[in-house]
Amino acid sequence: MDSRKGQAASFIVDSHSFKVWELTPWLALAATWFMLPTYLPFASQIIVMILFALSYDIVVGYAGIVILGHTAFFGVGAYTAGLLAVGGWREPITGLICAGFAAAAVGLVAGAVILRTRGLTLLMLGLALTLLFGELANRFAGVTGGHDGLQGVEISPIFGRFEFDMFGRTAFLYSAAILFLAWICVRTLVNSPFGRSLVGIRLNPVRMQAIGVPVWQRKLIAFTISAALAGVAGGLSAQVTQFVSLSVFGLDMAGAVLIVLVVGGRGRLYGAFVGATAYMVVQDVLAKDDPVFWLFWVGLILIAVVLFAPGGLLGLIEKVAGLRRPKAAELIEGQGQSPSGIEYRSQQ
Amino acid sequence: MNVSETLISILFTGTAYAMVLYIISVGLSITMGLLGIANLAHGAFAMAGGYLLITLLNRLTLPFGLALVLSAVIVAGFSVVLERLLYARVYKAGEFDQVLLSVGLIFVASAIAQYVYGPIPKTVAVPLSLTGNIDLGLRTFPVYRIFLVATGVAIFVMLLIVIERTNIGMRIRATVDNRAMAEAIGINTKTLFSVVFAVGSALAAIGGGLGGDMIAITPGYPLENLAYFLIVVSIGGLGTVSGPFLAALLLGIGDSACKILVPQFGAFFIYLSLFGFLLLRPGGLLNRVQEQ
Amino acid sequence: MRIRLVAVLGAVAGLIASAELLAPTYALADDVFKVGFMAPLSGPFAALGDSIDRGARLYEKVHGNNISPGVTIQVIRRDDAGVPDNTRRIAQELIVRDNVKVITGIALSPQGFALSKIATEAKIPVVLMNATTSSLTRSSPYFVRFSYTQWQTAYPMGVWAAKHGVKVAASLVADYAAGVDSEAAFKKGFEDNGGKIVGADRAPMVTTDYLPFMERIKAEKPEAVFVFVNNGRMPAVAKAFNDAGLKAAGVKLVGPGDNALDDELQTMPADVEGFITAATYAAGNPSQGNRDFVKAWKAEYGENSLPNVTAVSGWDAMSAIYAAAKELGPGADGAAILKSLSNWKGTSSPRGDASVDPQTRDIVLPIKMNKVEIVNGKPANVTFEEEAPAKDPWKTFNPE
Repeated sequence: MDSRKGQAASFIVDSHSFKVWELTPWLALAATWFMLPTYLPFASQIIVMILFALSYDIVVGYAGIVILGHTAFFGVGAYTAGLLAVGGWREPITGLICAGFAAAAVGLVAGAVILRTRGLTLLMLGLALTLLFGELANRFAGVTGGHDGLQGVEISPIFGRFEFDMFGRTAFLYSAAILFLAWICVRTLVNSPFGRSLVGIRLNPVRMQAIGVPVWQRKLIAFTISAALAGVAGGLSAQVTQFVSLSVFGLDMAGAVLIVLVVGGRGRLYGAFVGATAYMVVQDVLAKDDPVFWLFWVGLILIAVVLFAPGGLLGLIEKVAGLRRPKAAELIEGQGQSPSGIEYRSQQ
Repeated sequence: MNVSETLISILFTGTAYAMVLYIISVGLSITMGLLGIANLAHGAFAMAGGYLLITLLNRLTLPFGLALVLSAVIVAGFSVVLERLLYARVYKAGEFDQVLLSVGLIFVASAIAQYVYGPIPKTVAVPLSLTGNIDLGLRTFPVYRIFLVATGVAIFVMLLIVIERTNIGMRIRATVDNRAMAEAIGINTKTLFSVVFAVGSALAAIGGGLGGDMIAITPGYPLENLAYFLIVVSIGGLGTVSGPFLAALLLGIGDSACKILVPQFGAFFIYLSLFGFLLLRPGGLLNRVQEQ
Repeated sequence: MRIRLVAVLGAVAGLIASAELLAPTYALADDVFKVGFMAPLSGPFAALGDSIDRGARLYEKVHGNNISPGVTIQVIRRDDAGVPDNTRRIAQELIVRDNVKVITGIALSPQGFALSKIATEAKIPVVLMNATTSSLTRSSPYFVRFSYTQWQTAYPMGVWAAKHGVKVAASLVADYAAGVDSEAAFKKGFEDNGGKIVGADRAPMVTTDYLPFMERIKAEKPEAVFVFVNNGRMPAVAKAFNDAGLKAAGVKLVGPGDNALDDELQTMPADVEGFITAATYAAGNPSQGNRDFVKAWKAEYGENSLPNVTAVSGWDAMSAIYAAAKELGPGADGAAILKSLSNWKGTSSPRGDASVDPQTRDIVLPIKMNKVEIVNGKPANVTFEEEAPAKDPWKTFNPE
């Protein structure tokens, strides 16, 4: 009994310490800055997607809340940041904070209402939420610019000194900094006891309730945090591209982040990094030549991943590199089941 | 417009649209209730039915009825292949994986449709005997819409009889209620799944073909109309044939009422009422599936 | 542990290496005039993107890539899937990485708006091949439009209706910027000439069933119904118009040419017969310039294929770019190219007497009044009246 407890304890302590390979994304970003200076705007777009995917991973990958409308929070963040700028408040960092708060507020209210449901109902409600916001934004086209998009978004230089230039240099550094901060936060969160309890809730909510974990409350907190992060991602997108359109609420974006997590691997912190980079790079290369077949191949890849590699790219790397998950986690996950979770009916 | 005229307009236009939604969505309701899988790609079968109907009518110039049946059969056959190869492998997997599989299928189907038929929306050439208006005393009605309503009701009645009065219907109901028990008493659920899946897809194909001039057939069909089919199914509840019928009527008539009376309300109506409804009755109107 | 480290560093190195491979090779800027072409070639607006692409590509094919001895023109094509964020990023890449002199394509107004700051900052002319919002050319001094604006078609439609016996009309448009724009244009043209609008409905873009709207309009008893809906919805609108009994009652169905594109008309059901539109083009235009154009089009895309208003904009825009490239050479700067484009005169344009107004940088062209009739068993546009070349009325009513 003690050795198992000891194992579990050391597992948690272990996860907080930094491993060398975790430097990879930051090395890659640095490499991009020095060696691929013309790709900086593209890299900023990837960073925005990584942030969004990270937020989505908290909800879907860790907490196991299967929802399709996360773009609602992304969009709320984007329009908040955009409208603030148009309204005259051009300072970027506070704008981003406001975007996060606005999205968190919406997330809290929405979560309180819809997290009581599950399955198809939850899926539908999430979808309805983002479609509703899209309609709202369209209805108030006088304010939001409607389908034409929000124009006149101008962002003041960061700290009064670093102007947003056409080559995307400032935008890149700004995005990278935000990503770093977010990463620290999310990493701490998922490796904390709270984060581990989320995994427990995903795998067996009934048992978690039985041991006294306030399941619904935790889900709501996770949901709100995730919404805030999604809002920050949206706000960053608005500030860096200086444009917001109704597409932030659209199904294309929702589908994209889904694919990102699937390809990268969900419930694993770096799935968002790997997936977003892979997805956007491949899309950029393939879509140039034949956009119809891009759609075809994405669909095929999705099917293949679901059938043969449910853990996504990271899952494959884990298998190939012989990285094994610690025993404690194995005990929880059980044998022969896909890491994504147990059968639909018994999910809370 | 006076009140009675308005009422008739709303009821009539709404019901025809509702019938198309019903024919397409009833298959999804049964499949989801029976198999427990979230098949978001159901719209792809409707789209395939629509495109096939157009090809059979235009290229092979077959008569309308024959073309309709043939397209349904082809789609049904193809769907069984998909079910055995792909869907069967995710029955036990998480809901997320099922959603992903169906999204992947939607993409592949849309890409193929765009490659073969191009991005411009296509319309179905309805037979001349069904075009034009007919005067029923009070006012004129389009013949095709009357045909749609009649077909929808006929299919509903037929399904109801099958589900409630036949052996196979009994087996379906048993499996929906409690799959483990059904298997224990010897019902071959695997074959049942395939049969039900095939019938559901065939119905979707018919709905897609018949509804072609109300719901345009484009490569984006499965994604664009996904919300509507899912709304019918989630409001109607999974696993019955009557639930979606009621839900489709509610949705269709409500939609018409909004368009005729308060068009500036726009798409709000659908999403807001979906929200309100699902919160009050998350199980849907006539839910059969036991929530554990 | 060490293996992991090595693997990781190897992965990063691999990433960088592949990125360098993916980066386009920098051609010598001296002898190549580079043009960046951006359009939705996938996604919901693919039909539009495909159309302008075909028009542009046909021009390139017919005229070749050599614009003068030793100088070639290179068109770099990118798909932005109709997403404005992509548009902006791709434009940045085209300017910074590929060193293009001109950007063109741009099927939708939101994409145009997303570009305005970049175009102005980088001083790169943007030749709009579609994108019909009137105010777009004011959002950047480097925008030149070769297609048309909603006001250029819907306003004359209103004027025509009022002058041809229609006293009372209703409008039904799709609820997005272009729809609302055309609704306002029609109303102004119609009411300024004595007409009265009795109903103005906006249908959500997702609408597929228009019968309820037509029933509602029927109650207003208009003599004409103006419609403008998003791509692909016209057959449903026409059918609903008939089903509601409006056609039988002698009500005219009118609208801008966007919903009666020559190529799409061919596959539409006979319900659209009688639809009157004000358009910038009709494939049956008898001018020599157009006959050559249609001939080349059919030779390239098939005997049954037809160009439409968007394809011909692509063609004309390309001809202007070629002219600028020929006149100024690959070393030209943005301002000079802009000047050349803004003073374009399309003497053999398939659209007739088209030109660009240097002050507003917008297209000036004659509007054709078309009626849909059944020709050889298929619906087709038949031009029955042609107006004199006109500027965008919106700018006249909204001076800067």
